[in-house]
Amino acid sequence: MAGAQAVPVQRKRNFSIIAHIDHGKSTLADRLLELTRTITPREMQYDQILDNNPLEQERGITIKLHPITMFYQYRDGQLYKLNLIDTPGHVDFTYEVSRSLAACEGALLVVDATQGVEAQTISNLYMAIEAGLEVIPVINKIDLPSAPMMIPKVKQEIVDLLGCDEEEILLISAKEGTGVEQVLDAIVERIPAPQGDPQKPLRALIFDSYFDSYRGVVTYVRVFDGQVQAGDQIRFLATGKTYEVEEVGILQLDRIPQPSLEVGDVGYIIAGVKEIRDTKVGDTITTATGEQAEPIEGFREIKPMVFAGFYPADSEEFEHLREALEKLSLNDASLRFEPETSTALGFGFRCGFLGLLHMEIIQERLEREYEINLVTTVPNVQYRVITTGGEEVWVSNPAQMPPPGSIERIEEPFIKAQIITPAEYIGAIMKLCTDRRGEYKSMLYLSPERVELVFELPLAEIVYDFYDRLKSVTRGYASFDYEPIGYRKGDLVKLDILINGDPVDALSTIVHRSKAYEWGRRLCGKLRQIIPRQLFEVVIQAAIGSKIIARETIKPLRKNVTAKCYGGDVTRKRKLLERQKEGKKRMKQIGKVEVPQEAFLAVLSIDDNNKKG
Amino acid sequence: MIQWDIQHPEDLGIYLHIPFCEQKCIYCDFYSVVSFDLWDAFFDALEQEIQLWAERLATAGTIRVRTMFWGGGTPSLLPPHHVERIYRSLAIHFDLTHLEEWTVECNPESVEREKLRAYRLLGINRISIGVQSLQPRELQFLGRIHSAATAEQAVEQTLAAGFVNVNADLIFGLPNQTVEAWEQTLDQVLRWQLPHLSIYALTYERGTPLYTLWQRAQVERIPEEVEAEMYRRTMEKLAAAGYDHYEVSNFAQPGYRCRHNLRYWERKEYLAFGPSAHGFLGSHRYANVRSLRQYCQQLAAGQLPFATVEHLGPLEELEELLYLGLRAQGVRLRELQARTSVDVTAVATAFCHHYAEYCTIDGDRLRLTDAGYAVADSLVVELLTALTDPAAAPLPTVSS
Repeated sequence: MAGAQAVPVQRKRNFSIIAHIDHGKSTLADRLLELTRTITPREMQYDQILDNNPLEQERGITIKLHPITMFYQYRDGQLYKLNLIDTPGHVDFTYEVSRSLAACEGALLVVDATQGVEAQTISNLYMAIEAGLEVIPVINKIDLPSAPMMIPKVKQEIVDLLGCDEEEILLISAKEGTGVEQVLDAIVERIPAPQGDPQKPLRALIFDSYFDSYRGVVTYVRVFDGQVQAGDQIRFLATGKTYEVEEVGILQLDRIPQPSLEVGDVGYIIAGVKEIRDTKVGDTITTATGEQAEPIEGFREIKPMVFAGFYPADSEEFEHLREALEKLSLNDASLRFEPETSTALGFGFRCGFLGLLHMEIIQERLEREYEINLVTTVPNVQYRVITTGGEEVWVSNPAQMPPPGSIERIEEPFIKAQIITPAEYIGAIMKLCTDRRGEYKSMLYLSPERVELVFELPLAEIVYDFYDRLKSVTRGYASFDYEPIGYRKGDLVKLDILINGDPVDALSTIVHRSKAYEWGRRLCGKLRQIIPRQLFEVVIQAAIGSKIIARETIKPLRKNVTAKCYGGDVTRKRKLLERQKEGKKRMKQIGKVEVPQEAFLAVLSIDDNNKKG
Repeated sequence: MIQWDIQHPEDLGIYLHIPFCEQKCIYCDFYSVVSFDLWDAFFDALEQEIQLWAERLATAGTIRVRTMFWGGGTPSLLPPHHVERIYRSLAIHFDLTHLEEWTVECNPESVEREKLRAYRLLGINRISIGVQSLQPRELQFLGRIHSAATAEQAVEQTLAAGFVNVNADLIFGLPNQTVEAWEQTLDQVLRWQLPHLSIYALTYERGTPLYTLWQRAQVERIPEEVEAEMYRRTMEKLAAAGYDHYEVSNFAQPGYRCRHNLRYWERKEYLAFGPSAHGFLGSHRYANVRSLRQYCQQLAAGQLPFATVEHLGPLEELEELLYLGLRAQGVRLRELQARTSVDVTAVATAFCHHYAEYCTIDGDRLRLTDAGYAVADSLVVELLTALTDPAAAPLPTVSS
């Protein structure tokens, strides 16, 4: 078996693939696996072996990293050990990408011949360059009919970005297999071998982990110094916890146990870790006995950026929801949840996510895999509130905002947004970002037609539909990436919604004062459309504190009665009644008013008119 | 085979469905055919059906029929000798000597003095005339083949033939109809001083041409407010004219409530004959097939032509009591209490307190006000939920 072969550190190569969604990363990875016979075509059950979650396959994105070891016989006759560390492809997962890159010495920059470089790619590329990685530029999809026309332009973009020579750029078609062998050769030739000292204490970087129901947590690591084998006592520096190693090995299609992991190796460690939270991405593993290694730089606690309330539509499903969240969090250290109560929605959980996509994925998995009918509140960011008493309060649920009188100031998270766009859309993007309270920072022409724009924006302004709007105003041509840049003071207010005088906690939002009126007016209007007529008048109000700033009225139901009910109608009518009763059960009760579940996400659809279908 | 458990053999109703029309009206979803090919087969089948039922119920002893309603379709297409033939076959098997009310639905265009006289001589004592509207444009829209003048004549002739207990069916809420236009029709009808009026809001029933027109946006429904206003004025006018509003769509002068229809709302038993007809015996409801051909075939083969037979449990009975009762003279709390462990009086009291405008408690009955009739369907859902799933419809508690 290939996995058992010992390869000296000079013949190890660790690399990632940096690519925008759909630029062919997974296809290229598949070809590399095939060429190195790491998997046989028979094993190639999916087209793209690395994306192993159906949801990921559906969305065409990778959210989890799956490292894989290949053995390649280079033309010097020697066997090389190539470790591919896949990276997730979405802005929500920037930190994970940075840790994966930190485990590598090189990266393939894959660019679609017909699309050019995108924001996502650039941001990851900058990270790779900062981490000192050797970048091998690859233009993919050269088989496409329009490729020949575009290639010179894309080449120029890459040259401008990397400052490399045009000759260094590989031209391939991963789909057809053209040029893929040269990619393997370039990996061997251009990416430096790992450096490290086998004599030093163990120093390994955690870049991912997953929960195996039989073995506990399986930690993916890159060894920098020393070595690790079964029986070793190891310590995780960030948590301070120590474990005994049960098994180490490399990853191919399955886990393949090895006697040890040495300097430069990428593989897994099983050490009786029970909780995924104990294996923090970016943490350093060292020996628990004797001299210990220094932590590897760049470790950060992952903090959720986006929060939302998840409630079971049927209150009896609460425990089921808890179990499902617990199961999901076994494999997702970044998912946070804690129970909360809403007067409108009953018992549920306030959940924290890396970003909106992460939230949507969890939401979909809960509904699909666990068959839970969820009511989700509008997502929000976490605010830092300084009270008049000088206390610091973190607010991740708008309903928990302290009363206005006791607030000294509210701070909100800001991000640096990087947008790459064809130059013709600069105006539209400027307007969009300014509307979202963004501050223009810089503009860089990547080529005469393509521009990189940098803005600083409140995270709250991009949480809902910013990406959709951006796509819309640029006809899908702009790409976008962001990173958090800390908290800033904002003139923020809590906007409450009252239904027949009862405040609906689940509909409270925190908005900038300048937008509160517009927001309140539109939200009331939207709710008026969603809430059906009732037997009495329903008044919907938006309020800041005790001040009403918008109001809508739903007139009472005036006529709802079946005209004819004779012998032939009795059964039909009863069936209808039973259905209506079921429908009523799915409504949420606010005071006397019945509110459909979709009302709690009404804010999200407020921009409907501006959105393209 | 189902054991038919007739509860009150001394008090039965019979509904008989005549499935023939000269022309289909666009709003009507009652079963009928415009071809007369199976005319003769139908009467043979009907006789067979009557006989089969009599055999099924033989153990119940004498079965006394108190009310009969012949609907359709267009029952007034029946020549008197056909009426006589059916009557005879019923009289062989059932006791018709105590028949209190025998209604036949008539369409204005098929009403003639001779036929009406003959009907009366046979024992028919109530005529229901499908007037629907007196506005030519509206009649045309509805697909009726009569004119306003024909309708008025039909009423005159019915009265002239000696019928006292006469009903007119009317429809309001037609597309583009104004409140004033409806009031005009209503005023004109009130001048006839009929003892009974059935007044229906136009319903868009799935499967009708009207429904299709609406789905294709070729017809616009009148706003809910306008329809509500028409209904409100109808109730006002009829109350002023001395009519008793005894069911959502039914109004009668004292002593002229339709006894057969009351049966439906009071959950009294009735047999039903003819395709698509629905019957109710004991704890079973049944429906006949909605196809004349199939109806004839099954009976020719000696089988009752059931499409469905349904057994009612306590919950189904409770539901029926609620929505049938509230549509008419109110629901008896004692009858509800017999079918649930929930404290019905407490729930009903809280309900009436909560919806004071819409309902009242009148002795042992919970009943709707005029305003309540207009939203009866919503109220029923609320009350049913309050009775069966109190958590889903919290009512403010009233100390008992």
